[in-house]
Amino acid sequence: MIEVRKVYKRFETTESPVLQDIDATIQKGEFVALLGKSGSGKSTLMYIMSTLDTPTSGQVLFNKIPVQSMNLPSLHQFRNTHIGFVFQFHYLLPELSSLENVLMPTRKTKQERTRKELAINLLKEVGLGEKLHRLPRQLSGGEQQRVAIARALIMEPTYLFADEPTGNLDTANGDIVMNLLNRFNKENGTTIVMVTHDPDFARLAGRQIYLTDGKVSQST
Amino acid sequence: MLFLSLRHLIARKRQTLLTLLGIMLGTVAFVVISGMMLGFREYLITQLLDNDAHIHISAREDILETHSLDSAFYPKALYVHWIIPPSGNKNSPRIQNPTGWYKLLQHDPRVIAFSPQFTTQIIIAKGGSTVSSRLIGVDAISQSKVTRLAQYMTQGKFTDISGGGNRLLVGDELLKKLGARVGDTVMVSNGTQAPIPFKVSGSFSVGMKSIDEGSVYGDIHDAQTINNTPSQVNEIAVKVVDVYHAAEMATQWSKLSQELVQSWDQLNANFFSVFKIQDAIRYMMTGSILMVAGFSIYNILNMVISQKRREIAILRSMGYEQNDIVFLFLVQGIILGLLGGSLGLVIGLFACQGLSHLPFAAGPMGKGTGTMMVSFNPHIYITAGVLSLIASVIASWLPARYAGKMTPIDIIRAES
Repeated sequence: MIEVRKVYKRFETTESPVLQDIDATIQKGEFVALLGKSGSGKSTLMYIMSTLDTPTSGQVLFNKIPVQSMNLPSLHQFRNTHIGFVFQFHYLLPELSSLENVLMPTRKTKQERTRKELAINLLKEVGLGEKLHRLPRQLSGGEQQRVAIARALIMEPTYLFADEPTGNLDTANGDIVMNLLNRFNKENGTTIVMVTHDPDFARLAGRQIYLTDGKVSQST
Repeated sequence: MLFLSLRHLIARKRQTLLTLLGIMLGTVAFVVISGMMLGFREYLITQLLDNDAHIHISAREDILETHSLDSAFYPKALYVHWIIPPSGNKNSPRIQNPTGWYKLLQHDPRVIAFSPQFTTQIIIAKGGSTVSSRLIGVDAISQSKVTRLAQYMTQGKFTDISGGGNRLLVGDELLKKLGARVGDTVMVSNGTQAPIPFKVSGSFSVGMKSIDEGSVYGDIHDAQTINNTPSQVNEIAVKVVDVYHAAEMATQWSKLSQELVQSWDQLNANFFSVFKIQDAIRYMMTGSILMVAGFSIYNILNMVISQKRREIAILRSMGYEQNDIVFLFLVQGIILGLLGGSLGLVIGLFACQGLSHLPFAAGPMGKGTGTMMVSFNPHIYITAGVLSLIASVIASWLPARYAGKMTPIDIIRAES
């Protein structure tokens, strides 16, 4: 469970806060979409929830444990074993093949051998079983994003954060990615928090949280 | 992370090769320049050590001053005014207590051998040629234990002068100047006595012009006779176990008597000042080359890091720590430094081997060995390897540290 308590965020460069007194709870296994216009603070909220950013005030708790109470090594370990990320841009390492990219998180804890089978299965599940050894430049944009999803899932994370994962894809590829996220949420029970500005994709999530000017305006 | 570092290096082959080339050239330059400079230096030091004693104990010259003789002639006078004040040497310089020195040297375990000498300036004449020279009167057996002069005999044997009998060993260059040959008789005088006939019974060539052109060896008794100072000794040549402790021993002994005690390196201090300048030039030259190579690593890594910001962000979001990112880029510099340095050492070694076979004419210091004098001292290779590695580590540490400080959220914000 992720709890967001009175989160307030203000950047030094801006006058008005990006987020104001956000309170939210995301239950285990939920698929939540964060929606809002550009500049509404949805991405900032997701990055604060995912431990990559810190709030100016307020707290984020994972299973009642405040993120602020974790020291840096624990936070890194937590990210490695419990959190997966999918960004708008795939951020694949261009020197590595699809399989090597997927296995990259496992190298941190030297599990690349034990998780190789899982990596191959994940790539098969996202429809890239035939392209295990292709370099990112040899894949299409949709395929690259699917490799990024497989990479986010390789450590079998409890939480998956996706920042506009379909933002850079055409509709067909966007549908494929959304279906994959939906399937992993349902089959594996992975808690997913996804930022999107596309209402159609947001509807595939179990719950939508709308942000307007840094505040939760609607939660359905 | 080593896996990813290697992939980065392989992915940008051209940049990797160019950087390797830079480090390699810097290392080769250091090895070759050091090899040549130290080769010459080692040759020179060997010459100094082989042809001369490690420590010289010499009689101090006692120069008369204006009031040196006042008390002897006018013991009760308060002030003596000399119309022509006394001047010049009090007497022929000599070691005051040679027997005391012999005892000391015989019982010192740091001493291998010693040889009493009587050295005096002479004029040698052969027909119309007259040359001034330095006659070193020695006991041939003792002297052979102190220097390797016997190995440099070109004609005759060093022991030919044993037992006196007005025989001389003359340097090859001096023989040429005199127009004399081995077996000839030359006239020797100290300038104050009538010339005495001496037979040239041998010749030598040590490779140092100053010795080959200006020194003559004879028996100590003959030298003492020429100078009319029988049984006087004005120098003791000493050979020690550790040549690099000779200066320390000389300083220690000089406190025991009024004699002048100087080690080989103290006597040739001017050479050592030149060596220091050579070292400074050597380090500056190779430092500049390695600095250029280092800058190439620095620039390339900086460029790579700015191109790899997204990858850094994703790695950090995967749980990789600041140190992992520093390691990722630092290790690339270290690999380049190690590889470039190793290649440089091997190529430098081959280059030095090639140079050591090149014909090399006589230099100003001596006749040389006929080929280029190149040192293969392991210290050169160790220093070159360490320097190239240090340059690479420093050059990669700065951008690597910068990369490590990047936070994923800052990169993501900048990208979006």
